[in-house]
Amino acid sequence: MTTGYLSPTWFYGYDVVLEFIFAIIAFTIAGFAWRIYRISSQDSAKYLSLSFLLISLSYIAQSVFNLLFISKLNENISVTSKISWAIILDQLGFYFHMILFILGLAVLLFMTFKTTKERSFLILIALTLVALLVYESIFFKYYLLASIYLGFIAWYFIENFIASKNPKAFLISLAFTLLFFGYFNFFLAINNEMFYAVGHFLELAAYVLILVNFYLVLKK
Amino acid sequence: MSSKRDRLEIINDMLSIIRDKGDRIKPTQIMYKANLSHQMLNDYMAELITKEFIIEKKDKAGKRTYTLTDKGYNFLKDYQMIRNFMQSYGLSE
Repeated sequence: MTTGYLSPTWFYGYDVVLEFIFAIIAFTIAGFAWRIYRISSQDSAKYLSLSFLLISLSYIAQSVFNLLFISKLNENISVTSKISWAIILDQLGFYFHMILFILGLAVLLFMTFKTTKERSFLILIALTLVALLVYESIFFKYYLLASIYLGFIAWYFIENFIASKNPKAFLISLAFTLLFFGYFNFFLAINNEMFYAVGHFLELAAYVLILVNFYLVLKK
Repeated sequence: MSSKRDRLEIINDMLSIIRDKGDRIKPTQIMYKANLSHQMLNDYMAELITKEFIIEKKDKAGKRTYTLTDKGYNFLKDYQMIRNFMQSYGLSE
């Protein structure tokens, strides 16, 4: 079971556009964080940049494969061929997105630990991949693991807001809280496809908040 | 000046001191005004030169002075923006 089976048919196409928008926003944040790393040599900026780059690539992969998936469904070929192509593209999109996105979250989670120990980083990445790829039910494990990681990341950003009382930090904490609920909705989409669309809208709200924060930062 | 500054704050303090001194300042003056140890001063000065934020000059007596580059001025101009971004993501070290 992958994303193509979760999406309501009326949502086909909208998800491609939304994922492309998420990719652009995440890529913008990655670029700015990299610029700060080049200036300051602070590892936290490097990890933030790397995590948003991976997240951006994950959305690009998801968007491209979802687009190909929809194109194949609309092609004038036999139903059997249509179904086999759709399964292949849907699964490829899901696996590319899953691995890149969860690695992005793992890097972001590592940044919140405020440690530079390489071994801690490597063990987190290794455990993430092992938890995801070994044994069955990859789909369930992915959304569960992503929800757990996002929960811990949101917790860090909420603590950062409480400590700094900075309105911009509030926007980021709210954005990651919405992403957490968004991923929890994807998990629920197994039983009701409507949650897949709701999850995307929560993601959209989260990325709009990230973009608003970025605008306020640039505005000085 | 805060007792627990991160790298970005130290860089900003050093560049501000160089700018405020009319762009011709000796290393010892930077060290005292920026509240740095000798080792830290050397490390940061090397980094600022490598990143082309400052240039080193020698006067007739062979004494070293430092001047901000355009890149250094741009950093000072953008510092608050960079700081806001870092605070919103809790990026201080």
